[in-house]
Amino acid sequence: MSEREHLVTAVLQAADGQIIGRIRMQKVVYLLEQLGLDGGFWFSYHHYGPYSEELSDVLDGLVKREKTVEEEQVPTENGFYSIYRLRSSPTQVRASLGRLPWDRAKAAIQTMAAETSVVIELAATIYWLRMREKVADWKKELKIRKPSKASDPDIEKALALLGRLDLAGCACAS
Amino acid sequence: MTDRNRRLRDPIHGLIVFDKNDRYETDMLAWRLIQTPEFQRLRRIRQLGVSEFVFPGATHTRFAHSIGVYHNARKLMQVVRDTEGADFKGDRARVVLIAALLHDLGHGPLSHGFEGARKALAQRRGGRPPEKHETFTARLVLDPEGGIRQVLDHLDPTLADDIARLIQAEDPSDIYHAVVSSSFDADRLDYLVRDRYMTGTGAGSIDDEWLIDNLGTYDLRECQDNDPEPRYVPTFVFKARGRQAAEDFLLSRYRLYTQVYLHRVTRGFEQMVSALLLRIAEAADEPGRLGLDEAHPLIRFLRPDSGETITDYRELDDAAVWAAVERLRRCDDGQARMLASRLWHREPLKALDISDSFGHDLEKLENVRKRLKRHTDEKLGKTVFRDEPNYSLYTRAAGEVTKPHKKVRVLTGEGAPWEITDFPDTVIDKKLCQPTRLTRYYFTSIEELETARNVMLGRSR
Repeated sequence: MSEREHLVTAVLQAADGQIIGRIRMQKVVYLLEQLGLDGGFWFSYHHYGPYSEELSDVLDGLVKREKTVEEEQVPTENGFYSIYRLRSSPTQVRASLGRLPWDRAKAAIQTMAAETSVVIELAATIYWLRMREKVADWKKELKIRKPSKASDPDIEKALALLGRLDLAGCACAS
Repeated sequence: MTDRNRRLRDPIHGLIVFDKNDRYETDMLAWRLIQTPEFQRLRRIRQLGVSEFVFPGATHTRFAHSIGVYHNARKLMQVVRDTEGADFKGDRARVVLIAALLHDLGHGPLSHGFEGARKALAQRRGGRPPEKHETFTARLVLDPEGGIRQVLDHLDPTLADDIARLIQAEDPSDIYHAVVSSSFDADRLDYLVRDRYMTGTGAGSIDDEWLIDNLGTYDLRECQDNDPEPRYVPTFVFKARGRQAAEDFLLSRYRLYTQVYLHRVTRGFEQMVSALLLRIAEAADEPGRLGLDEAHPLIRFLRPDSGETITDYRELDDAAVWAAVERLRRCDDGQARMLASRLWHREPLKALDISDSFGHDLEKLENVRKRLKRHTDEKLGKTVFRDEPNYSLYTRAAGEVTKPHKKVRVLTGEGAPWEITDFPDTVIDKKLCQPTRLTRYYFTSIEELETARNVMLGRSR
């Protein structure tokens, strides 16, 4: 396995073995990168906010080639959502996840897991708009890009999530 | 200017009439917008960039395409009008129709070559990511100094803002919006038919009149990932009678990806365009070395402190790039000279498609990828280029979740639509929805190609 494949496997381990949803998976890794993961994934802006084709490739490799991760596709009314799950429980005790202390990474992942996929998407996008695109009026921009998702209550939840992750200093001022 | 109907002739749509008696003045507004410098710039941007190096007829422009999109949008809006009846909102329709006309204003020159260079440049330089063409479109629409804004403000001062918002929105907010954002929107319906015709490829068939005649509307219930709260996304769906034509439409689109947009030779030329633009960016502080003036739009736009202004951007078009290429092929910079000369004389790179040879065996493919990566790392971007495009039935960012309204759906007898690949007797294999990644290497010399081929086959290191 490559270094990145090991890293994504460790992300799943820190998430107690599974992460639900492709969109959530992308945003979890994006926000971990902002916390200091140092996985080296390049993110660009796509339909659901920050997205890394490299991360998608690594996951695809773990599922199809390495076969250490299972992707269960759960049918829904209009398609499916994915569950990424480690095929076996890792026994390795880790001190860190990338450059993040293990306990901090685990706590951050659990904090994100408690939120909906839409709220995590909004949090990642707020961070992106403020820190990468340097958009001063990020709230207006967020509502323009995501008119059907960026409701005031969900924006508040996204900001609260960034606060709990210690990423709010960069995102709250509008 | 508005005292008579205006007419255009188009190889795809035949006669396109701009009606002076249109109740909401949309057609005459569109006609005035077509005359602005921003829209006329699209005459100088080819729809398929360097595809004409492979398909000589593919010289059509974003100008013709944009007018075709407007024409299609009017037809799709008629479906909305029929559905909405007395509740039809003419003002809202006008915003969407004008957005359809203007949607490509912000495209840069040479299509994907320019986009690829800007993305690579952003990666190298760090800092802000490159703005998407939709953002440039919005900026051109909103620019108070621009011709578009003046024409829009003259009719209604709120129009520019409404259009810019619609162009930048990621999801449709109502069924009017679906005219420009759905699996069967006005944009796709034009570019697929036009690109197929102008390239001369016989791939698939698109029965557009039958497809439009069999369109209905539906509010899709969507839960993102496993979120408990649904959202409702208004979109177009096909009636049962349109299913076979919809399958042909989708397969035709898929074939255009594999045969035209991702054509091996075309992508090689796009690699050269990207590499050349990157080289210009790197040497932008020494324009003399490149044989270009400081005032050349490429120099102004690509230098590190450019700020990517809208003033510079509006001067960038294919003509500006080709004028630069002509000078670059005689410049003092070896890398720029080599690339420009190859582009000018249409000298393709030598391609090695490892997905073609090993795509059936993922483990071998990965090993070959690693070997070639090690072998080419030092020369990458200079005499060796790597291209790894993704594609699937619905999207080019194949690992991204496909938006629910971007899937083709057909109404069933029970009233709810099914995704077209879910029908048991469909001719479309569901596997096509899975991402496919191509990995191709390009070389400037046959010797380098042969050496790499041996590395690929494990004959040497």
